[in-house]
Amino acid sequence: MDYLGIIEMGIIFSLFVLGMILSFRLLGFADLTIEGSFTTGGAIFAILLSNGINPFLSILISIIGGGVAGLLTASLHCYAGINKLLSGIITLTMLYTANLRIMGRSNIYIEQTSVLNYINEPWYEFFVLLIIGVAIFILIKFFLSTNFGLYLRATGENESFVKNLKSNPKKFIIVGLIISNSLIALSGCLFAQYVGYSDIGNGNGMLVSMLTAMIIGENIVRPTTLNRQIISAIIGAISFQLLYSSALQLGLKPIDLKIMIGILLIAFLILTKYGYKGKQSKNIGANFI
Amino acid sequence: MLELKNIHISFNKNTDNKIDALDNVNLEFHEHQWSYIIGGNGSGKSTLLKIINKELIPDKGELKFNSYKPTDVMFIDQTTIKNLVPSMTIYENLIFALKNIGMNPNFRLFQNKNYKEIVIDKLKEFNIGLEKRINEQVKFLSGGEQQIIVASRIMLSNPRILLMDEFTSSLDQKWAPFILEKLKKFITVNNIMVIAVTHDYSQIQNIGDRLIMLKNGKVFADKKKENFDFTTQSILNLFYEYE
Repeated sequence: MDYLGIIEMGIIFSLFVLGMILSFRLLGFADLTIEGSFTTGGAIFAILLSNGINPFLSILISIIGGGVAGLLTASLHCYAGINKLLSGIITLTMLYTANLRIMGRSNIYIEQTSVLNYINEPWYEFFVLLIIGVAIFILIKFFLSTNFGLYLRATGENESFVKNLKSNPKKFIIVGLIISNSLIALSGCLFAQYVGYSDIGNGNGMLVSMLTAMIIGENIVRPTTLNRQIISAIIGAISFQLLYSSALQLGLKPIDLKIMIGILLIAFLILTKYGYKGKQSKNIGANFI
Repeated sequence: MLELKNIHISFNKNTDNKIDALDNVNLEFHEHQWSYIIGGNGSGKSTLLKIINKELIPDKGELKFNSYKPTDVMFIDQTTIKNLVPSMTIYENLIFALKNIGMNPNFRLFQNKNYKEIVIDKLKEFNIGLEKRINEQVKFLSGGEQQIIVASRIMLSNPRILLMDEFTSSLDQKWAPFILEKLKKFITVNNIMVIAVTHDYSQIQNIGDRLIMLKNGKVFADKKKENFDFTTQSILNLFYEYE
């Protein structure tokens, strides 16, 4: 088995899971936009790079693209009063067209030199992903350790508590979803570079896959503190990737993988829900299940 | 002074079930005064608090803050856990109260030595050892301990107007007087205006300065400590008149 590849893919997906932790777990916002933002990240990056734009600038713009999608979902919920799930579904549907419009077709192959293939050595790719992953995790840890981050977490668990502090919870929902979707777009952009193409279907099924990764991570590292919650993202993403590769190694056909992921998620959700035998969970964050 | 002038609010407007929750209510509240609001279910007690907290806007009438600001108001819900963030620690729950020293949504780190000392000092005042447990999640505390965290939050916030909706309803006779007496001392020293809804009349005699009884959204009685005996029996007699 390609263990280096598993860790590399794990790092890419850990950014997705980290974004999900922000929206699903800490903000209590089951945001379905994320499947679309993952594709958006790759789509913007691929089209910009193929038009000769600097790879770093392309990454930055694809992150902003994800942020805009998060802003739209948050605005639909906060200002138009649309239900959280429905806000995400509306943006997700709109993103499908937006992503096709961005790319101009359903897929783009990335043949140009970009950040991940600047030097054509496996260690280089791993090293760059590691640096990006560590930097992002430190930034998010810093963000959540600030007063703003604490208010954001309070919004997810008890919105009226924040209102009673005379603060506007909408502010935290908006910023939280922008950051969450930006992280997921970055993950999509790195994924497109890693596999060498951007496809309109890149995000299909990612929500359930990454939710499985998140729940696996939370079952391995009980997220009773903020640090443990953040670490659970990387552990979950790598464990998920390991299971995924093992399933393929054991002869499971790629077309059957989604069923396997679904069964895995159901099993972990049941384990999480009933595993405490009536006791309250010590995990932090909102219960969105 | 906080003034409510000719306040009227109704629910289920334009239906057969229209309810006048408050009807022509005129009240003045003063600093340093602990006012208790009592009345039967649906008499408008909680609605009154929500109007002062600006959660509800009256259909008619005026709410005048005068020298106060709407941000001076702190509202305490009757369900203890609603006043807390359950999976956050005691420390994390309490530092939200330190807005006056920078605990606003900004990019300072919340693990701050200064904040920690203030929180620990406040918990020590209750003398039940909670200061040694500041990293415990509040959802694992007993009802009484949770209410002490809420009381500590009130004291650290030091609001100018405090609204409490059945603050001690979930507490037994051991905890309720203990917490109320601590709060009473703090509120007297700091000149805080308290407007509290309660069904527990036994606490009014020791704590209250004023008693307002609502009936069907109207002020049925407004008694001050100087001219009314605040014993449970007198209050019950008032209730019989009400019936």
